[in-house]
Amino acid sequence: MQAVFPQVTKSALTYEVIAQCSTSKARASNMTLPHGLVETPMFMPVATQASLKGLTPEQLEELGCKICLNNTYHLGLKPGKDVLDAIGGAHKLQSWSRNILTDSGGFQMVSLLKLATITEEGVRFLSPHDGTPMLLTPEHSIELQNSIGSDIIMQLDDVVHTLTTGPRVEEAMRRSIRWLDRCIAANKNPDRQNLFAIIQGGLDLDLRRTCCIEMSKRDTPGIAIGGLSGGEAKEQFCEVHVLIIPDNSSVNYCTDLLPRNKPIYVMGVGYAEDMLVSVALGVDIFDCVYPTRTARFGNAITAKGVLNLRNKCFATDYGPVEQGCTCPICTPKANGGMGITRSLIHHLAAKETSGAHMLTLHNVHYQLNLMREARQAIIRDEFPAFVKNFFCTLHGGDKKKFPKWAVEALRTVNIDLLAMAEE
Amino acid sequence: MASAPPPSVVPLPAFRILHTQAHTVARLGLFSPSAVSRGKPSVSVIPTPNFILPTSRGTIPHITPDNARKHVDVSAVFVSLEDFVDKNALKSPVAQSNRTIRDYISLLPPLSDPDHQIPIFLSPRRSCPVPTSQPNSDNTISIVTNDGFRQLPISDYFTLISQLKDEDTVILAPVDLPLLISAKPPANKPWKHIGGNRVRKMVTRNELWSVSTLKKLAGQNPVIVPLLPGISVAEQAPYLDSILNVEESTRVNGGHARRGIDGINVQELSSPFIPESYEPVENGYDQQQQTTSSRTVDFGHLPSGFNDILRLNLAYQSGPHDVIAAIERGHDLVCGDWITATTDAGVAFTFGIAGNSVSTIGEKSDIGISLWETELYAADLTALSEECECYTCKNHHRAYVAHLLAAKEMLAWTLLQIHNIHTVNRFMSAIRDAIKQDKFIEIAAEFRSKYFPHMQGVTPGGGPRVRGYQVKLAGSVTGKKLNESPFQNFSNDD
Repeated sequence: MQAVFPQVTKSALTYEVIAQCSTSKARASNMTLPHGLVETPMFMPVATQASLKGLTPEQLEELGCKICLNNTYHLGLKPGKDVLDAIGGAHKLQSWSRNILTDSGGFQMVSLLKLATITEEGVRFLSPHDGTPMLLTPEHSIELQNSIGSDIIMQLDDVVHTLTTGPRVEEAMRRSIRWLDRCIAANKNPDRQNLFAIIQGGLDLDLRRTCCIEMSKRDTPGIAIGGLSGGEAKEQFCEVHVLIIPDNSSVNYCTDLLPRNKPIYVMGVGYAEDMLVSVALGVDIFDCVYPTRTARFGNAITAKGVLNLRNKCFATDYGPVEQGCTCPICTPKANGGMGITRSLIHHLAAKETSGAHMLTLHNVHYQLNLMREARQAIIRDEFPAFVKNFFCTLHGGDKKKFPKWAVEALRTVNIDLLAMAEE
Repeated sequence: MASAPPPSVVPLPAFRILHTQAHTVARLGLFSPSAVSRGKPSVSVIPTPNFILPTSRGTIPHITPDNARKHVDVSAVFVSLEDFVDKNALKSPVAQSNRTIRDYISLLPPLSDPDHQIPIFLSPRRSCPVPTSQPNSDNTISIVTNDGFRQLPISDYFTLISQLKDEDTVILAPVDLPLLISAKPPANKPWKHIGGNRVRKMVTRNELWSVSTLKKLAGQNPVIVPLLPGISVAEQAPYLDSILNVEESTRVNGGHARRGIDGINVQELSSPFIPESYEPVENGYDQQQQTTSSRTVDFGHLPSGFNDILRLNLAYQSGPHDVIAAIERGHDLVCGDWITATTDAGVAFTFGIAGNSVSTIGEKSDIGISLWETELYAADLTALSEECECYTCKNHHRAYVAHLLAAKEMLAWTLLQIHNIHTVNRFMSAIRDAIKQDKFIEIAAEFRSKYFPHMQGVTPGGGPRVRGYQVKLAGSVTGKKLNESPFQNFSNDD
């Protein structure tokens, strides 16, 4: 007997693949959302509490950011649903006229709160303010996201740690499907807020398969692959992306099973290597707190690796944070930039807030620019060479240093990192 | 790095009085640091009365250079070398950089005027320095660095200055002040008495330091020397005599002997304030004796040698009322530490003066609002203050800043700082206009009748995470943690 389930009838998103890599599964697409066009592959910086850690919306716009992430959990606490309704949504709160994506709040529940129990109803937890018992249901999460008014909203899913095994994984996967249905029913604004499903299933490929098939039937405007970024080792991450036997890869598997005419989003992935490999496997959008968080610790992300500018050796390094970088702080003064030196960042890091802001500008630029360059490479059908170049630069040309998980993952989509590096 | 200009260039004094008003010592002026080396005024001028923005480790607190040049009208900045040197001044990163300080800290000209080099006031110590526990010597000044208390050799100071300055830099002579044990003088003794020996030493040592600074640098850059606080004018007469008579002996040229001193700096004897709890500070020392103090020195009663030079007030002002009072006593420039302190307290200025204030007839108002009052401003979509056209007020609203503060987001202080500096700029500009129109006395009285000097119905809140220099070092070791933990472990266990 066919189960009856709600289908999404309206979508506030158009998605068009404009170029496909002829070797791998990478694609470049245009995604039009209510607050403007987003060109993928795309990285979304995380403005957790409606602010990107010290940057003004103007600075974020000037970096070319078209979509950022706000956290439902945090905004639900401060300023809260009532204030958001009174003001008219998060766009008006932070004066951001471009796109916003919100997560469901489920992940924060489980990761931030010491005791959160998951029931069929929803997530039970104790309020961090005063300890009163509260319940986050799929309906309540969508209601909050409706108040926030974000362009892409995420379903509440039952998240389990990727390395969990046993019946809990299947329970979580099936419950996520049921919660997706409840979320679809609860969405008051399908004409301007796009609800994305989140594929669960841990590392079990059969469960992932079932989830992909079922959730695809709901025909949501976009799909996310969840349960993958809880800090698991890269090998497992890629097992879900790809197993040693190429046919049994997981994200690879998922992207093979998912409709190709919808955006695919992998949540919580932000290391450059991870993003590029995922792009090769067919992923379109990413989010991560990593670049902004690591900036505040004095770390600069560069093509040659992450530099901890608090290290003494940078005290007398008067070069830019990254030679040749075109971000606002690395661009020389003569070219209209700020011409900030490593020495100055060393001088300011962890001592002045403006030092953190400067590195945040650089790191966010790095991430956005990497995705822009990946997109251009796909359009020119030169993506494999781009990936090879990236790994070469990152590891100083030494292919023995290329991470095994990346080499194998890329092999499943016909990019042989080692072979090409020999040329 | 500027060097002495050729003898054919006749140096100009940096400061020029444009207008004076009867019955008041307040005056309108123009300070052009590069006039000294160029022999003519340039575009990089400071109209006075005005304020100097203090920097912290070379940055305007909370403002990155791109925001500064687009959204903040900076008339001048104050840079202290103790922010840059640690163990060995001449081996510090800034000393080895081969750049001017302007270049090193990326102080950029405003976008609207790329030729305008913002004047930099260079000094060994910060404008509101942390009191040190170690005394100075004839050759060294005690400073507070990243590595703790250090002695900076005066000769190193001069060496560094010559590497770091350019023609738009103003040099402050090192000032020798007696060691103080407590931040506030005891209640029964408004002025902690400086012993005779120390007075003598203070006079001779400052004479040594100020005269050296003048002799080394007055030919190239404006030099500002101190008026010695805490002692009477009579007691420091030998000192005043010396500094007023240093001439640019290298530049005597057909009768154009120029007096070397370009400015005088008045500051507090007692520890310049770092407000402990970010609250506005009550000032009021009873003047028993005729000692000089930034709060009481009245240039109407000082030797006439101080008439036509720049008068800088580096003491901590607690707000616009103090600033007006300083201008009334003849000061041309005040320091702006109070602006950053207000920003850090989560307060947005809403005051105005003369033409640009919103008039509420009859009632007195507060000079600002505290955005920590979350319930009050939670859904308030109006600008921080009416009629303000700063970046913050044009693009954001009270609800957002209140939210950011409650969420402890750094952007709160960035937006507040942009707004507060803008408000004070408008204030100063209106004061200059009033002096020009001989209306200063009236607008000062009107301002006092309109605003309370300290926030009444307002509770300033906690500031951003305290770090580094913001921690008062000398003598205040309390067990209390200065930064609250932002996240607590929330446990279900009982």
